[in-house]
Amino acid sequence: MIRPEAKYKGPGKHGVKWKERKATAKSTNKPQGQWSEEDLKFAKEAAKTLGAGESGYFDLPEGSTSQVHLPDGTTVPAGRIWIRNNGTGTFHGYPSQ
Amino acid sequence: MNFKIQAGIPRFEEYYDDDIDNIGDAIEASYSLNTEYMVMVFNYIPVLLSYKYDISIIIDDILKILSSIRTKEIGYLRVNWPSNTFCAIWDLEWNDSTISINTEWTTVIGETEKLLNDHCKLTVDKLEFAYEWKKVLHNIINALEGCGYNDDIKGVTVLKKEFNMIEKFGVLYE
Repeated sequence: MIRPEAKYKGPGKHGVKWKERKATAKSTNKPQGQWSEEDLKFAKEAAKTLGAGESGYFDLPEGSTSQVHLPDGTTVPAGRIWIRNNGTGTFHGYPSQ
Repeated sequence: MNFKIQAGIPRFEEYYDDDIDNIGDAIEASYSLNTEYMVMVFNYIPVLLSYKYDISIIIDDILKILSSIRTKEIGYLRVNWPSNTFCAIWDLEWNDSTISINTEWTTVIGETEKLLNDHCKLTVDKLEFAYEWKKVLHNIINALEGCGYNDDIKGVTVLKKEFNMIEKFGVLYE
């Protein structure tokens, strides 16, 4: 059994209610992914294929609703996710382009 | 030395969220986005890490490294750093006196990944490597205590233990 880190359902970094997403993209000059509830379920299944400490990219299925906030202030749909099995029953990850 | 950490004096929010139950989330909630970075100098190349959005995510891995090199005289550990703005793989191998780190960098703030990958290996004194982290742990403990997070938060006891087990501060704070 593996689950997303709890913060992804709230206002934490990459979380569904993350408010500083655009400011962080601008501040770091790096795209910042933000999860949707539906894609966290997809990620949970993908994480089961990873061993403890392992990570990988997975293409999101069609119709996914996670987003990526770009440094120029625009927002685009996420095309894939990066996740790591923390080895503690949770996974860390984020949507990406 | 080819590995140093400038821990900075990051501002924290004095904000307490009683829903938080783990050290990573407590660190993220404690710090501001716009405050001083931690600067890791890796083979003389500066790497910026945000306390709020990098250190909060990698704290468990930092503590695992410090605990492992302290408790095992000889060892190996692969760390797949999970922050999207500090994304790298480190293979750490140590003996009773030195630690060697072989790295593969994917993403850091400032686009210095190529430079880092061109200078991806280093070997340092094992104790001095740990000393460099002590000020960072000190900053975090101060922030968490300033915000009202206590030892009930998962990971805080480990944080304080590793802080106390490191004999002294790094070269910038001796």
